[in-house]
Amino acid sequence: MTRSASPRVPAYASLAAIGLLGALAARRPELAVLAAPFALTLAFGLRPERTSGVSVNLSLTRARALEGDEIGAELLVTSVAPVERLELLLVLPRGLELVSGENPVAIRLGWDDERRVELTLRAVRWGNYVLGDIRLRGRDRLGLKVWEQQFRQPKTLRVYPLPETLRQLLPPAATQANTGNQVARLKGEGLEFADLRPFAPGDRVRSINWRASARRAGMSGELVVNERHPERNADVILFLDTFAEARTGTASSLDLAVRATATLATRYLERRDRVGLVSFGGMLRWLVPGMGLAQRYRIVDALLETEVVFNYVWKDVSIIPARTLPPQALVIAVTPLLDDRSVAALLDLRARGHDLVVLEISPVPFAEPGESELERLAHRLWLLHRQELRARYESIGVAVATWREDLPLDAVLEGVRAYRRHARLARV
Amino acid sequence: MIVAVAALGLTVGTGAWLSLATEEALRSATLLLVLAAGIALAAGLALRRPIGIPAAIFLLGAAYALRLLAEEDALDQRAPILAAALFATAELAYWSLELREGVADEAGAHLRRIGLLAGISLGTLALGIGLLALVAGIGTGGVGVEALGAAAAVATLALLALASRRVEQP
Repeated sequence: MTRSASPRVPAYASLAAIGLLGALAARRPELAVLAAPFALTLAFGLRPERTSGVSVNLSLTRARALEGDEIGAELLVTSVAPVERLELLLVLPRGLELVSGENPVAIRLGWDDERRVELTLRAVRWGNYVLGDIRLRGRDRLGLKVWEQQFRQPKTLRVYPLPETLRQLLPPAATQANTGNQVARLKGEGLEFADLRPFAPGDRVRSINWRASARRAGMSGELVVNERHPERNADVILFLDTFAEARTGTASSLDLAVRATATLATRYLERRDRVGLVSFGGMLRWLVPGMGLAQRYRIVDALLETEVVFNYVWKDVSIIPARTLPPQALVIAVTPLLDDRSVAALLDLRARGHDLVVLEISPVPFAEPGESELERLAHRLWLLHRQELRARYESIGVAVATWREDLPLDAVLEGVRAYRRHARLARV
Repeated sequence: MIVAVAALGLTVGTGAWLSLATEEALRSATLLLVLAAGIALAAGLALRRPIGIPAAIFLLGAAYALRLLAEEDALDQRAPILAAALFATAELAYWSLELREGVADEAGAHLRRIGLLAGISLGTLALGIGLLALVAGIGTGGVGVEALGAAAAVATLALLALASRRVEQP
């Protein structure tokens, strides 16, 4: 606790001293009368008082929220002795804003008093927030003594990115051995009809297609059986580029990238696919592919820690642990395509035979063309360079979808689905 | 804003009364002091510098002292009114600065503050009248009274040194 005198104290003391000395020097008691209220205020205001013994307790209505959600916060203030004016400030981290209530607020406390200050906060941006930095400033009745105190009661609030609507996902070129919801291209036991073939010893009777066999009876007299596509799961690796971001004010391409990654992870995990995460940037983070709700929380929690870490070191895909990128996995790269290291790493991934899709988080809305002719020319050249970059990916069979905040993610991915409808993995 | 205007209004009113009540010969000097007081207070409030407040009060007090020096030895019975006005001006000005810190007050806080200010101002008035009555009763001269005044002045200075000290506790 820090105690100090308010600016009134030296001012009133000076005025009182000058008035009293002036009265003495000029032999005029009227000047002492002028000084009297200031001197008496000091005398009353600076007498020793009992320590107020204020304590504050912060509680949040929830520990997890989605972007845009409102969260209730309550400050319970208790005091042993009266405080004429207690100013309370709950320091809000960037990304949280006050919706209702007053912050800072001044309250008055009596003997053994208890007050509740209720605030409603809104999570503007995803992230891990630590609330609980509470600043107090108390004043006495005459405003002469000021004390300041700081309470730290860390309360974690996890704000998850708002999911995008996504009805259909990108099908992988190859599936894995486990059962899932993805119709595999190979033939086997399943639900989806694939083809007809002549009956062979060992085939189950229930798989005989009697109508087709009857039609062919006149020709060869052979029975034919149905072939089906099995339902398998897939390995999906979400490759999040965190080398660079484009930002204007509070909006950034990284925010969109995290939102898209969280949406894709959630949807693929709902489909019983194995999903892994590689956060490729100044700091490399990864999660090996896994399934289920636990993996979903692991991925989202890892995404909340995502930030752009500035780094000059050249990194390529060789630093990524091998088991993080299983063969035949669908790699969805979520990137603004701003850093040469991530551009090269993606080309390298494709060259190593991975099934790659690039979801480009367009940095164009974050970059103004500029005022001068030269700036506009530079902007046009930059756009051309980006176009050329996309063409490079497409030339090696990598579909590139460009997503902006004003476009639905579903519509953007539909273009990739159409591009990959008859895709096969090939060495390039 | 209203509180700042009230403080400035009180300064202007006090200054106008002082100027009108002062003799013709000293009027320009008084006006100058009053003008300086107004400027000091306005600047202090506008720039959020509390130093402008005691400066303004001092200048108004100086204008009053100038008037007292030019008069005869008779006690000025209007001194308690001026003391209350100066004190109210200072309190209003400090309150105005506090209000501009952007801290929301709970309901009724302003009324309590106005009540407290009115109470202290009335107390100041009563105290001044009492002091003047005391002085008129025992006479203005004498070594005892002057020693008492000197002791009070020294005590106030000691209080200043004591109170301005910033106490830090872990």
